[in-house]
Amino acid sequence: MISRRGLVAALGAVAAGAAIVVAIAGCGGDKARSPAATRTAPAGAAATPSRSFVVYGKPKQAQSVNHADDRARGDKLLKSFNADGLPTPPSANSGKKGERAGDSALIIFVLYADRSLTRVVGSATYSCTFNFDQEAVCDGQFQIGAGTIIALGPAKFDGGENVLAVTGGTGQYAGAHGQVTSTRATGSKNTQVFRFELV
Amino acid sequence: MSRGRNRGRKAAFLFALFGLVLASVVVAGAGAAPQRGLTVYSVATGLQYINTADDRARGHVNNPLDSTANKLAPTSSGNKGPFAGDIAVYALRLYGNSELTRAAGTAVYTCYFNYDRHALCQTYYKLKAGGTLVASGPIDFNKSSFTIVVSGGTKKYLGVRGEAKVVAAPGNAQKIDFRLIR
Amino acid sequence: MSRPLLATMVVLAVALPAIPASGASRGSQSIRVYAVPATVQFMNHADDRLRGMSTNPFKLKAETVILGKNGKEKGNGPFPGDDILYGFKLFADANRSQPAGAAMFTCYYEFVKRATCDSYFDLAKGLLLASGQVRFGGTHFTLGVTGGTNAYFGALGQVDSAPAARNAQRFDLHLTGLR
Repeated sequence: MISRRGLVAALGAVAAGAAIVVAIAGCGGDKARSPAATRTAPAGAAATPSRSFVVYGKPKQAQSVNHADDRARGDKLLKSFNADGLPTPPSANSGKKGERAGDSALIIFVLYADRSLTRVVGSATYSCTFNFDQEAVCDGQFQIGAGTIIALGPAKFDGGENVLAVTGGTGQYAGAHGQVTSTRATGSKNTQVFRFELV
Repeated sequence: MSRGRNRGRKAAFLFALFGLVLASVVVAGAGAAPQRGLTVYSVATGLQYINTADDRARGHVNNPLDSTANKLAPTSSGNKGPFAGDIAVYALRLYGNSELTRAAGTAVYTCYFNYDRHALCQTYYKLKAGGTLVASGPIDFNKSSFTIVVSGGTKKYLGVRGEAKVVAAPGNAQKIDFRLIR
Repeated sequence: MSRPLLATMVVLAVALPAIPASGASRGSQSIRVYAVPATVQFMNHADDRLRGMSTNPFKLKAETVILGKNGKEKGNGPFPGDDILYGFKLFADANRSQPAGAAMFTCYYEFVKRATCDSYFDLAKGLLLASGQVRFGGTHFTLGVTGGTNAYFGALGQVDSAPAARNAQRFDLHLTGLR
C-alpha cells in the first residue's frame, strides 16, 4: 500500500510535472487564443461569463433590394448553366415582395451593453440574401469595442430565434469562433438580444 | 520501514511520470486538434437564378469608380453566362447514405458569380443531428468537384472549422466529405 | 504500489488521448503579398433598390438617406445593394517580379458607402478566406480570416491592408491555428 507521505509527495510531483509541461506549451502559444475576445466581454456587457456575453441591438436602418426583374430574367434560365433542368421551387416566390429568392436585405443595428439601451458599445450589419421559404443566408459583422466579430448562417425575419456561426474576427476578436443567437427582446418589437458563445 | 519508504518514493516517481504523461498528452492533443469526419450525400432540388444584366449594364455607365478603376472593367465576359454579379441559389436535400434513403437534413448554396463561371458560394448545411455547418469559398462551375472552407458551426458543431470536399456521386447526387477540427 | 492502482493509471493513460483538448495551441505564420488590381466590375442596383423601397418588408425606411428631393439618388453612390467585384493579381514583392497568386473581393454595399467584403486569396499553398467591412475607396482596413484549405487548413487570424506604391495594395496575412 502507498503511504500517506508518499501520496502527498506523489501528488506534489504530479502538480509540478503538469505545471512544467503546461508552462512549456504556453510559450509561443497561439495568438488566436490570446485576444480578449474569447475571454472577456465588452465593457459593461450585461452577462459576462468568461466566454459568452450579450449585447442588445436596435435596428437603425434597413434597405430591401428587390430583384424581381433579375429573377424574372433568371427564370429564362441559361441552358448551358442549368443542364440538370432544376425547377425553381414554389417557395422561391412565397415571401413578401423583397423577401423572395435572390432578394437581399441590409440591416444596421446600434449595439448596446444594457437592456435599457443607454450604453452604446458598437454597431452591427446584417447583409442577407434570401433563398427559399423566406429564409436568408446572412453575413453578420459586429463591431464591438476594438474589434469585429464575423458571423454567417441562415436567418428568418419572423421574430423567432436565429443562430449564426461565428466564423472569425479582427482586433481583439481575431480568431473568434462559436455562435451568436439572436432573439427578440421581451416586451420589445424591434430590439434584438445577441448572445455570443465563443469557444 | 526503509522498504516502505522506497515503495513510497517509487509511487511518487510513477505518479510524477503519470502527471507528465497526462499533461503532455493533453498538450499534444491540443496541438494536433482532434479531427472529425462526416460524410453526407446531397441532391439539388431547386434553383433560382438571378440575372443581373441590367444592373451590370447600368454599372458600366453609372458608377462611383474613378477613371483608373473604370479602365479595369472586363472587356469580355465570354459568350455564355453566368456573368459577373449574377446569383444562383440552390436548394439541396441531404442524406446519410449513398442510397439516398436516410434523410440527414437540408442545405442551401448561394453563389455570387465573378468571371469564367467561377462563383464565391456561401453555404449552410442544416443537419438533423442537431446543428448547422457553414462553409464558403470559390467554386468553378466548369468542374464537377470542389472543396470549400467550413468556417464554423452551431449547436452540435459549435466552434468547428475545416473543409468540405464535394464530388459527384451516382443518382445525380454529390458526396460531401467534411473534415472538421475544433 | 497496489496492482489496482497501477492498473487504473495504465487504463487512464491509454484512455487519455481520446479526450479532445480545447484551447488548442497551434502554428502561426505571416505572409505579405502585394495586390495589383486586375479587374473591377460595378453592379448598379438602382432599379432593385427603388423597387425595394416601395415593397420594403422592414419598417425602417431608407429613402431619405439615398434619395434627394428630386427623387434621384444623391451623388454617385455606391448605395445599399450595389456590389463590386475586385480581381487582384498577387505578388510576393513590391517590384511585382514574383507572382504569388490571385485574390477576388466581392463587396456588398450598405449605408454610408461601407461594404461587407468577402474575399479569397488563391495562393500556391492553398486557399484563404477573409471577410470584413471596407469603406469605398478606403485603403486601410482589416479583414478577419475565416478559414483555408491545404497548407491553410483551419486557419484563423486577420488580414491588414495598407496602400503600396503604383496603385497596389499591401496585404499582411497574419495566420494562426495552422496545423
